[in-house]
Amino acid sequence: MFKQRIEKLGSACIDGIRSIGRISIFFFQGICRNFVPFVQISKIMEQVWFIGAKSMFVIVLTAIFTGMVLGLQGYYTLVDFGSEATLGSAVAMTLIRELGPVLSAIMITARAGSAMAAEIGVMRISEQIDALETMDINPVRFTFSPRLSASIMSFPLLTALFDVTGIFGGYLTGVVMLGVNRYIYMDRVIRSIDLADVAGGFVKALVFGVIVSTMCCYKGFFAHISGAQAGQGAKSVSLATTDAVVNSCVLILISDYIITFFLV
Amino acid sequence: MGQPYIELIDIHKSFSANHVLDGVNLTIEKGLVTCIIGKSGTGKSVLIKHIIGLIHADSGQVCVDGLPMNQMDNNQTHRFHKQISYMFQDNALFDFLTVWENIALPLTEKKKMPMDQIRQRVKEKMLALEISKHENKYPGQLSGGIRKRVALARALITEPVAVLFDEPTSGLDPVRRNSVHAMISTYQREFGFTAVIVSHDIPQIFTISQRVAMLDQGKIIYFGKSDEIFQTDNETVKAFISGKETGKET
Repeated sequence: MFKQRIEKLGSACIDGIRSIGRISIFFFQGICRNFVPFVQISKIMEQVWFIGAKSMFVIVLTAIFTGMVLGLQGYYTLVDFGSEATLGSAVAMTLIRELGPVLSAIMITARAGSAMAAEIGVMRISEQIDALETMDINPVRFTFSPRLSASIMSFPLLTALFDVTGIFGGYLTGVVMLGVNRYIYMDRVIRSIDLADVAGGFVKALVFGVIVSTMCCYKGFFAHISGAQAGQGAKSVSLATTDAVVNSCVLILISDYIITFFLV
Repeated sequence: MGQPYIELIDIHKSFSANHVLDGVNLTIEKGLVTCIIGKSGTGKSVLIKHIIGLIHADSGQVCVDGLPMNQMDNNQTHRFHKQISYMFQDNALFDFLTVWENIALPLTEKKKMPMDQIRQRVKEKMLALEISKHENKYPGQLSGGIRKRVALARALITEPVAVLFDEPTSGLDPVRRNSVHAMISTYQREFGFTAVIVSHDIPQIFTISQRVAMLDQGKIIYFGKSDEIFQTDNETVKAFISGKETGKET
């Protein structure tokens, strides 16, 4: 009984190490194959359109309500201390340092990351990835590299959009609804944010972009392995997609803590 | 006996406890059509996937022009892949690409040929396979027969030395089945490529192939000229080609 448990634990550890090795090779291949033999500009632009432009609506919607909630909560907390004038600082710093990068990454994972995992997973189970190999086309370059590049470009831009829209959402509740002076609100926003905060948010967005694209493409690419118990059918794609979204979200939060630890 | 092009030597392959190939020896001769027959689930597709490198043998060797594949360097492997095409059982067409893009993909991805030349070559293949009017459609908008033709056009676009067909007529009606056979035969004669066909279409497939190999219980139990298979003494082969049950299920 004890021996069996140890064996199971050992087997799980070996599987874990194998997965880390596989994902690392996948990531480095994705980076290197991006430029060799040529940069796939049109494919990258297609993915920027899909990951970036098509996520704008959901980002704006999430950001405006996040900003409005922050404005509302912030106002009623600060008003007790007579500091409602600092609402602009509270909203802007919360958004730019933390909520902007994290929430936009989670929203993009839900919208584009799941689609990446499902699309590549279907390519895997319908032998399209095998077909690429038989045509001597590198499947990692074909499926992952453009998505990685597009994520690196899109995530910081969408985060910036989230930040700006969120600050506007805070303005709506703080200034328009609750009567905070608009000049003071904007002045506090501008004064409280320095370049280090924006750069920190930018670094986080970049890292999240890499994490989401790598995890989602990896899960789809190896859908036939991760869903081995479910066979190589639709079930393995659904398992891969779920895994991709859950793992991406968990890794976003973990890496957010690590980056913040080094930034503060 | 023609000149050997691909040789499979003592190939063993298992998936967990399931021993699929148990010492397969097979020689594919240059310029000929070799047909692989056998019951469903005997490992015919697994066998030809060893040739293209999609599956690696547990033991044994695949040699191309006498050179073992596992001893090839990167350049030799790329060169071999350029010479060979594979037509999948379910076509494996990219559903997000149009017919034109699917056919041109092996050329456009390499960017080694000028675009004008690619256009010309794709146009020729589409004309020959009578799929020109479908060039802007997506695979999902096509019938099974047209999809097969698109897959065949994609397999032939690089003008390969060898083409591997994995059940090219599965799911087609008898008329379309005959037309796919005729197409393969015509193009094989025209371009002179070596062909390996996994098929269940007995006896029609014997009319377009020069060699037949039968796989049973992980081994090649018959290999010979297609017009001689009906004279074989092997009971399993006789029973299989006449559609009789032998009682030995794999």
